[in-house]
Amino acid sequence: MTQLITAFIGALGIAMLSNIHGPKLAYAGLGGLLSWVLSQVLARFISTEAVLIFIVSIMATLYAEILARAEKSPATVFLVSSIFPILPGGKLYYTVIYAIDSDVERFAASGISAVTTSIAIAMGIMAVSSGFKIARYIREKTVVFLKKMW
Amino acid sequence: MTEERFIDTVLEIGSQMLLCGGEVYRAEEAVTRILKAYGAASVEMFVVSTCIIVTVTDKQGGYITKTKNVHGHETDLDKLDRLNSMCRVICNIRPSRAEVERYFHQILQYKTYPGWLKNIVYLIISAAFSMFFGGSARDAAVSAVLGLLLMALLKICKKLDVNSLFSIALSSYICGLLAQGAMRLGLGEHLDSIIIGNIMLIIPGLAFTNAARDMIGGDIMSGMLRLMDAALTAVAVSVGFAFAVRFGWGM
Repeated sequence: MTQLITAFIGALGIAMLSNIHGPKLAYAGLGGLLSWVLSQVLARFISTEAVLIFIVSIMATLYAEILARAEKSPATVFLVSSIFPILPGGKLYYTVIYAIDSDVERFAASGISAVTTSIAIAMGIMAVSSGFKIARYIREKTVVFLKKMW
Repeated sequence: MTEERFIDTVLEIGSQMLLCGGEVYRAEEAVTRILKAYGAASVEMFVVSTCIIVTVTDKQGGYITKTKNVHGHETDLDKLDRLNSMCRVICNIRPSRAEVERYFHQILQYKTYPGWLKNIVYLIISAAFSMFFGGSARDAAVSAVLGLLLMALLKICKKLDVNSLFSIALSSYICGLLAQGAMRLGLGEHLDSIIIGNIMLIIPGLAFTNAARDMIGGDIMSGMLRLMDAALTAVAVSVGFAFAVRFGWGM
């Protein structure tokens, strides 16, 4: 419960630092909350961390892209705070701690985890945004085609 | 208004987009579309996240090449949003050139959140993420104060023109030491939560997001630049804090 509230407040704060105003601010904070809830729920079914984060990232990007279409603003506005709770900030810190302790095993484990998490997030964003780009392309081509036929 | 002056304005629009956190393809598309809407025969561009080079050819075959550097970044997604809608409107209704410039300057003047509110937001973010990563209320309070201090240190370093990576590592180190000091005084309970709350404040979420989005747009080079930027920043923060924890008071 604490995590739910803090995820929302944290994402909201990040959005405020990016100078987002009004209702968009609330959407951005909600994005952070949703992606955290989703990652907690999915964690019960999916044991591979990379896959889990990939799916969460896909959903977060979908959320951001759909809102971006509805609000006619760049998807980045909602995306940044939506993916924030799943960014591997803590893991990175532990990785460096283990590196200093020369605890090679743990260093490797948390380092790999941090890197794969980042890659999974990036892949999720790429997959969905490319999907939206393709959809836009097809729509534009269809419009042109229909006009010609007319 | 002369052709050259107008191209300057449009380039300025593009560079402002990059500056406040837009993707490369967005700036590229905006500049190209506006210039074409105002009678350019062809627009050739080279855009990376730090620089825009554009060559505009008019219908008589004369051409103008201009370069615009983009220094640093001041994340302001609200401005990006407004610039983006402005471009859409400009391409649709084609107001006079003077009007475009006036409208653009109007957007630059929109206010951001005031400084004191930003400071409160720093407090809140640090506190929220320190509790998010398992801290208690007392940890959150310590983390909040340190988060504010961290941002203040970074601001000072920026004024002194210190290399940004070094200043991040140094500020993190100092805050890490203070976090440990707070632990010794019995103010905090979980050192890791306090520190991670502060790390999340600096983790470059936007640079990372934009790196991914630039790469989809086919701008691999800008994507790599931003990715490296994000990775180095993230490493600098965690190295700063980790060093403070391991090589701090009483080694």
